[in-house]
Amino acid sequence: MKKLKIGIFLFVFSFSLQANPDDVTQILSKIFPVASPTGYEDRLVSTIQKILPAGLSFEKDSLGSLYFALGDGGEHLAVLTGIDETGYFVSGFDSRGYLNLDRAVSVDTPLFDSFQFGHPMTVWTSEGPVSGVLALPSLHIISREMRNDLQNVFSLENALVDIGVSSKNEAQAKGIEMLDPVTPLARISHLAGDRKSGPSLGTKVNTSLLVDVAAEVSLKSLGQKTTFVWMAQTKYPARRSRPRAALGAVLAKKNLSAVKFLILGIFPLDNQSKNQLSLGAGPVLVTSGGSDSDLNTFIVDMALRSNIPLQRVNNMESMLLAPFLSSANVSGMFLPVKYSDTPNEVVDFRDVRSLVKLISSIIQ
Amino acid sequence: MIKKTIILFLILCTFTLCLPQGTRDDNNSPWSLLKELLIIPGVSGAEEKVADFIQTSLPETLQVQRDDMDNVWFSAGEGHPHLLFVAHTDELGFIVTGITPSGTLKVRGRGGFFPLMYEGHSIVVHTKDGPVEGIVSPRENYWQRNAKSFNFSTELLEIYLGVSSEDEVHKLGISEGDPITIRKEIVELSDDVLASRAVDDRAGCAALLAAVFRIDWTEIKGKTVSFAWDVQEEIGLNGASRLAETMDVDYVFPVDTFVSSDGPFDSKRFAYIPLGSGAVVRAIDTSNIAPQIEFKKVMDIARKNNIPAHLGNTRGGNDGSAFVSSGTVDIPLSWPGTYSHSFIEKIHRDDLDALTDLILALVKEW
Repeated sequence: MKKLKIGIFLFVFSFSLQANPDDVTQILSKIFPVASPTGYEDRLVSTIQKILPAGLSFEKDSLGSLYFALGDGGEHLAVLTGIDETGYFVSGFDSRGYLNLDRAVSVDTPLFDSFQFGHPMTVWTSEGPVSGVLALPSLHIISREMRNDLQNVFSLENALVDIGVSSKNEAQAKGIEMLDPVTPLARISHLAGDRKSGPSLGTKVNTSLLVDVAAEVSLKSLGQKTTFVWMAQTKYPARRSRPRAALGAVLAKKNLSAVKFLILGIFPLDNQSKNQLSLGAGPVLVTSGGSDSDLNTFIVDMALRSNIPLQRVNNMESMLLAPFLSSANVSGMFLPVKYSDTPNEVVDFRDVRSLVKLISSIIQ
Repeated sequence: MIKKTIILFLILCTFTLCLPQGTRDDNNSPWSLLKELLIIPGVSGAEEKVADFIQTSLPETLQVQRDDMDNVWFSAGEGHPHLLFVAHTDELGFIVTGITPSGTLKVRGRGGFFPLMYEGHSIVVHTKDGPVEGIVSPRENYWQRNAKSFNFSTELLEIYLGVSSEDEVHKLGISEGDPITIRKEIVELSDDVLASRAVDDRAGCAALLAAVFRIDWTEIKGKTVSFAWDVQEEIGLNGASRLAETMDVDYVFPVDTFVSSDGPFDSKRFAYIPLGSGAVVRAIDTSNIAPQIEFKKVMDIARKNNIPAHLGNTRGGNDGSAFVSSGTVDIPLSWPGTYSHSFIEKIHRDDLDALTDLILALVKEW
């Protein structure tokens, strides 16, 4: 009878700790419009801090990653996600007032730059956002040579942002400076079947759901120390690192004294199609070969007991997971994303809800 | 204090009432009308909503007509010469041609554009039940290193909606023939410059509409003046051809984009009229060579009225050319625009104002 009472108490307690998945959409509406190209995550970090309850004690590392810890004792758990998106920065001023662009990170999708041509861009100056468009040739008067080679015309070499001025001085008068970040215009499309899409949506959703979970559990008393980390520069590889590892993750690993690591990432469905995974079928538990960690076993068991759908992949290479592979107890929980690294990354919000439930449960 | 407030209020009211019609900031200014018109969907062959907007905006005193194609027009005055000013209401896009078993849409392009621009971007299917959002699927191997060698054409485009069966697509209210536009954004590059899809030819529509409000139509004497907003220009001047069958016109002034080479990729060998420099007489294009004596007359009227205007040649066709074989003189009027047939067609407010002023001057003095 006593066991039953404890069981009921734990059951009720566990649900009282659950973050509200619907809040993720609310949080996403604040997170999504904020630019965070690799190396320029400070605006997003400030936004995260503003959304989280007041009075929390934050720390930042030298890359700008944001940390805060809750609870005490038990086995120290760290829950981490990358917050940087692929974007550009101003690399020069054309004498006609156009802006040159460059990227600090390489992209997996060779068409990433091509996708942006002829579309709106935002330049993030210290004085506020400036609207622009990525110039392209006029259809009616394009030369035959250029028309035949359009695929190569639409490349970073030719990327010129038109901000509606006609000289370098006018561009600078708008507050634009060298190395200001530049991102595609951020708009979410609402698709059928509980799916949404937008540029870098996967990263922004992971950022938002971790804020949601952290905000919820920050109001509770935890039986174990839990550190939440929003990592900067996870698309930038650390030097002298084998296997190839994300710089932000390498530094976070170094800074954390945790014994369990739960890493949230993006699972690109299209270039992993051999794995037969799909949108809406649950988060993807990623392992890097060998036997399951204790945390993996716990997650699988938890998902089964709570009727939370879960997909699994073995031996996936991930820059995000690489720094943690030497730890005994690490799990990668990845959000399935369709059309990854395109202007419309598609996320199924059934997967988001499942992920929120799982993370909340794990933290308990 | 109350007395002072009342006096101030009366002064403000008087000032507002004294503002001339069509000033830069009122709702009937070309710029304001353009912004309203840009957002209305009107893919070639599905211009009904744009036609509705124009028809309901026109003063009730005008004898407005509309045919089964959705061409809208009215005439004032009588006799000859008969002047026709015409802008087209249609825009580029797609129509749904099929639904696949996996719940994606097959489409056909309406008008000419680079299909590459659509790849991976958001679109809106305009169904009878309302708008449905979707994505133009990127090519199947978009993430592979050899993806760039792919020949991306309209026939290969597919629209992803978030569903996975034909039945689900039908439940969204989508049917074959539904028009599709890009999800439009008006990018305001400054107070006087914007970039958007469908500036071609909603800017022409806006200039004509703004001119309507500034003309005393009872004062048209010794000539006939017609204003028309026609359909299906982008797919073969179909609306203009219908009007040409029924209207006996001496001079047609199609109001449409002058594709300027003021963009960074364009050769300045021809068509170089910078944005912000005024209206343009598009004397020579791909469909028409305007008679010198006539375009010089237009330039004289512009000069006399202190309207900045330029002569130029560019590429592309115009609605007026559908009238030429009937003996009508075709004199296209324009504004300089860059990034033609893209989602970021760029226009300067001063050019649109100058174009509107030129239309007014021609109605009065031709």
